[in-house]
Amino acid sequence: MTPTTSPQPTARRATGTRATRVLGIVTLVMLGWLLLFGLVLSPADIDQGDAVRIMYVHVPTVWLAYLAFIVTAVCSGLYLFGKRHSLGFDRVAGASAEIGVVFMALTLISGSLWGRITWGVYWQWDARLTTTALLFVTYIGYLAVRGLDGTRERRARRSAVIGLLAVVEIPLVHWSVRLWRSLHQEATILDTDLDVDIDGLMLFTLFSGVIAFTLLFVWLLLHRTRTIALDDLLASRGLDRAIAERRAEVSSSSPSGGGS
Amino acid sequence: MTTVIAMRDAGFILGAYAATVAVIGSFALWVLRAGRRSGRLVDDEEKYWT
Amino acid sequence: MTVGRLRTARRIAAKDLLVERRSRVLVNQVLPFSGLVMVVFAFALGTGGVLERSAPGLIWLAVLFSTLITVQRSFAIETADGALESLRVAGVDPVALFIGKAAALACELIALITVLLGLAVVLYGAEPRAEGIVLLVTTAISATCALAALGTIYGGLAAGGPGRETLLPLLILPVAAPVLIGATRGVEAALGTDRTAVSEGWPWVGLLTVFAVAVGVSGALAFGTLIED
Repeated sequence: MTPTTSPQPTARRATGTRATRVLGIVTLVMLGWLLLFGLVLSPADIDQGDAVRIMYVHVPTVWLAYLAFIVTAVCSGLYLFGKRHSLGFDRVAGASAEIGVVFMALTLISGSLWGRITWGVYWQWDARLTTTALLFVTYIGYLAVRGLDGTRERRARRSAVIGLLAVVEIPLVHWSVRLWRSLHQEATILDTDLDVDIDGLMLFTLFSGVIAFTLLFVWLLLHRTRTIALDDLLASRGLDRAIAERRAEVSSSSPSGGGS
Repeated sequence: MTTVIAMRDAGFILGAYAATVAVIGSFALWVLRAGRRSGRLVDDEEKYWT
Repeated sequence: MTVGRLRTARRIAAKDLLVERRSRVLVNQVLPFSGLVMVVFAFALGTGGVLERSAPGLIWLAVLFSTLITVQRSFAIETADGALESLRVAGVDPVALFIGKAAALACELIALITVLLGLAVVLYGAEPRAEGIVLLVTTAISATCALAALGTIYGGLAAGGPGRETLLPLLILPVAAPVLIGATRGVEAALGTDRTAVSEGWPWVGLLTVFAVAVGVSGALAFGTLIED
């Protein structure tokens, strides 16, 4: 089988470009910078001691996870209500949700380790934590819906609707969980909140963390969106080839009157 | 390195950092590898970013 | 909301309930299951006061689990012979379809909840007080509407093809949290569990109502897209 449409199939590049490579290097440098400041150069907190160092990865991941879910919701809306129903928006929505789920998993891991140090337990049924966990599971469900069968357009429409339904439901979930927690104001040993007084070098470190993870998010989003685009292209090409083969089969078998 | 080890609760703190680095690293590698694998099968003109 | 749309919705609900009455799956399978769940809770929690205190929550957990089965059943009768597809192709308004399916589901759930509340009186000693009856009924109705709307949205999606049944709990349970929280607190107030006053229950009915309306409206809008395949 020789390609007839493009006489000279050009070099097969992956999802990187010069821009993403530069972005990737800057991201790596920023992450190294964050490790240096977070683990070594920044001071320990007066109340929390060294435990405060977890904040520099915990807070940026949760912010970026929320940002990722906002991107998913916005792109779902743009896909569904845009005039062209561009599948590009659907891919960005899917890629962003995936990254959001990864970041949120990291938030839950680092948060529970932080909680273990400051509260003595990994988990506390606080409104914020509970909502975060429910949000995490909701977007796992969203990704499961994306994995369902169907044509590209159907899958895109379906997941856009699920992505927008989440926007309606999440505030209600948060509201109900907050009401639930405000009922039981148990004054316990767990009353130390994760909030700390931030100043100087600590603020600077946190700021570097946010920048590092924002760059990481953009880099991952670019690559993941392109990977999805490639997979879509391959899937549709596979379909085209299957149809072409079927056609060839029919046209070659009909005049001769059968045969395999 | 000694300052790091001297931290209180070093296990939990370093564990949080290690988990973050490991998860992000493997996710990024997975994305890159998937892109490279699929990228080999598609001509460059069809990639909107080239 | 046009009259025609309501009439279609009523016909679909009547059809669902008729199928249910003929097949008796609810009576023969779902009810025994939820009763069993109530008994199994007693094994897990023991009978030393914990059961009595957590009775309201256990009732709603049993309802939630049974809802999952009922929703699956409600859409299985549609997809088994491509009935949903024919309804869609025949141009039945998806909004009417959503309202009809949700209404039928709500009727079935109300019957289920009534039985489970009775069972809770017997098994858990959860006797309602006279002044809490109105709250109990309002909580049950608003929670049922919320669950029915939620179940219909995701049931339609999960019924679309083979191998999708396991998706339903994953999609429903996280967003059912407000229903479980609100309905449990409402029933606690109605029963007076932990010396709660009846008046403490009404904000939760408000929460349930807001949730039911929000999910109902967005579900009616989204349903057409979700059952497309």
